[in-house]
Amino acid sequence: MAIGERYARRLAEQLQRRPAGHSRMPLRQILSGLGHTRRSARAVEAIQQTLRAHGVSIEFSVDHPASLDDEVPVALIPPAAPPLQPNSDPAILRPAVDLTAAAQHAIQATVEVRVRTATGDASGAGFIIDPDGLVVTACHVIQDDSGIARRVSVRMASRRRTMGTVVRAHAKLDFALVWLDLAGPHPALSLGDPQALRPAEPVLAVGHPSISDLSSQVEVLRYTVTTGTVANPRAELSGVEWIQMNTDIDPGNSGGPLVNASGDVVGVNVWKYADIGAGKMALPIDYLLDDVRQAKKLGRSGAARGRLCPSCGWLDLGTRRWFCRNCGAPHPRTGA
Amino acid sequence: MDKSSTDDALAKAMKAMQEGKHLSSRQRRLIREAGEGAIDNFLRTVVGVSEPSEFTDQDGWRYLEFGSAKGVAFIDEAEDVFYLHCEGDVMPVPSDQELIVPLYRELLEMNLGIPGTCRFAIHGDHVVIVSTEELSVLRDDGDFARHIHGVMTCTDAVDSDLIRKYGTTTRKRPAGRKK
Repeated sequence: MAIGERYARRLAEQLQRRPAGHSRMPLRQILSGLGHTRRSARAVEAIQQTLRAHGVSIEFSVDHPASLDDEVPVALIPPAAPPLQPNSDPAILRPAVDLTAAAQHAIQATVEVRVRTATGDASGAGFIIDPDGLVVTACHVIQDDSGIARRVSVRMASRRRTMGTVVRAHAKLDFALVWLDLAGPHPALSLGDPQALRPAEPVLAVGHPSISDLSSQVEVLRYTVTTGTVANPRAELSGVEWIQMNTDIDPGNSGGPLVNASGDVVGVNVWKYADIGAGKMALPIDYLLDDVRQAKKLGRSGAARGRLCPSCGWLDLGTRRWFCRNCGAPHPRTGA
Repeated sequence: MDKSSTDDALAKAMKAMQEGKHLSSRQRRLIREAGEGAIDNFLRTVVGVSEPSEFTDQDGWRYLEFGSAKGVAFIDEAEDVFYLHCEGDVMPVPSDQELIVPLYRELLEMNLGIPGTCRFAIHGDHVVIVSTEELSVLRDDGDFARHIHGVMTCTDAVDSDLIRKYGTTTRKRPAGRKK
């Protein structure tokens, strides 16, 4: 067994002997124990994978904490809930589904997206869907005073900030795709199957709800996780099938992921009926699959070429055209 | 200044505008206030709003609701000529080319048959019905009311049908996985 594997196994055994199953350890000690001398992005991913394979989770990233001598939390990953067995006795309660592992994974892949407007910054959520840095968010999150923005600011779970280039948007379905300037690997969410969702299935949302106090100061509650269940996996409204749920979403959640118990993303949280508890809506992720494939094929450098129509979000690679091929709007003079 | 003096000053200002003369800042203010007052009267008497200032933004735009239609009315100025501009919001421009193209065609065809000064237009990413009329043509509050009412009733008459036809998406979800 490799040195790193032995260390990970010993660490798991130590945590199992602790009553709460978690501890804090100097990051330098963990790096060294797992055979790494530097805290690169590759090392971070490898360490997390090795520990996860032994049932241990660790919270750190390339630049957090700032010092290798700082301590980081390590904890046993709770065992997966036993598979539910059908039973005929209504008196026997079904065991609750544990969403904590799914939440932890979703948090790592969720980002905050900001655009500059005349009245100040507007922000919402997004999530990484490709480890190289492709982000999904809501179209209305990336709209500035001129329409759909071409460049946005992104803050990741690691607190690292970067810019991103919008490569596609669709106002009716309210989604947008953004390539991060910062190359990966980034923690990313796997795609789930929204068509397999069933009513009452547990789901969770991650976002950054914001609140304004009496003096109009805005406070952002970053990386808030809310849980609930699917109310209707195919709620049809105006020709679009939405995932209707009772998972709380608020301003600041828009663009964030809707995740199932396996930790796979099944939808993009976008809007809600204000006065209905079970009236929160997420766009099923399969509406975006073709656009995601095209964006991956185009790549980061391809996304920076061409002109994004600020009216309809279409990326026109035919730069000689003075109007948008999709909606006919004239391209802005800046050419972006 | 008493009311009759103000009315005289307004009448002189309107005459100057009609004759294409340069307007002083006071004359501009009188004309604008008279126009905005007429819009407020419409809000009070036709829409039933008790306090029009609650529906007015910092640019003087008055926001209206009429049946299912929402719109805006304001006084605009260009080169010493004042206009009453009224806009009714029909629907957002669709996102799919397969809907945009036939929608634009239908809007242009409908423009042919809309009576009066109302016409379909695109404002930003919204389809709207607009009408713009010079204040010199609008003699009294009744003319203002007819102008604004015309835009809003037209909007209310067409928005539901257009939204039903074009307010969706041509995107389809992929077929579900076989179990």
